[in-house]
Amino acid sequence: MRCLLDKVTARLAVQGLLKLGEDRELTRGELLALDLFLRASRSPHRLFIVPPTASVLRRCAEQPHYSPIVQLFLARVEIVQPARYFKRWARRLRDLGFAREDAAVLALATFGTDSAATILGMEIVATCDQAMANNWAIRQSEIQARLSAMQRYLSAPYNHARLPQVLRPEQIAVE
Amino acid sequence: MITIPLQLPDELAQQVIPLQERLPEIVELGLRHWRKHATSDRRVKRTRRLSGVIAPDLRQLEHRPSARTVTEASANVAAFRDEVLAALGSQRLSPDEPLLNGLTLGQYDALSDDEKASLWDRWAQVDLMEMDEIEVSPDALPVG
Repeated sequence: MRCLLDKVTARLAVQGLLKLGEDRELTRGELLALDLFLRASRSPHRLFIVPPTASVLRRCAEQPHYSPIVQLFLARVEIVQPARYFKRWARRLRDLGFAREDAAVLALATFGTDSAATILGMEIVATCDQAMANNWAIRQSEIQARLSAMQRYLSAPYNHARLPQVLRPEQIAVE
Repeated sequence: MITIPLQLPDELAQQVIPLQERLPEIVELGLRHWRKHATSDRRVKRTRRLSGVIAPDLRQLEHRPSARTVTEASANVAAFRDEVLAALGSQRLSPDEPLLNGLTLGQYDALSDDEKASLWDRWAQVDLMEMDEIEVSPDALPVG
């Protein structure tokens, strides 16, 4: 399984790690995001974060006090890269009513790849944004139709790209 | 009326498709049955027996993992606390240490979630829509 942590989910997981380092109580959101991160990182599944998240974490890692915690996180995730047609699909998603940032993350989960460019897309987007997840579920047929229409003119492997499931961290099963 | 997309195993889907006109009624009956019987082992066993008669594939649904509870998550995270402290050389993080751009961890912790989100957006300095797209290899592995 390939799972993309959206910006909020990744931030909550890192905040959870920092609070463990401070010996403070975690919020429910931090707890569930960190739990997903730990479950997935102990499994053969691959966890991805988006480049803006990686940018913030690299800057935090420059601070000696926080570096061990941030490195602990970064060592267990990969950074998704925009593949060809990412922008076109993000624009289509915006037309379907998704906010700019949401459309970009969702488009990365369909037209995103790893650093070696050997994969295309993610099975799951982990999000704490219930409104986005609802919108994704409710409009699934419409979104699928739009993707299929776009893919009619694409060559392999882009014509095999799929839509991800959009789930809350606690809904994601990691076997 | 709300449209709910469903992903079903092939065999179950083949049973459901001829009945799709009556699906709301079947879901309503199933939900009533599930609520009535899902509270004790004895009742769950009975549900299993009944589902075996009505639709054997419904048994698969019992094996689908349910939502993770806060209790389960707490236990998992608590077990990781030692690893975090080991990474820090047993020195707890101080709220007075600067995190980024002069903001200390304590000041960061005191912000609202919306304020934290805005800060991360500002700190990121990366716009996904401005990034170059990569050509994947022709045998790149799609999902599924």
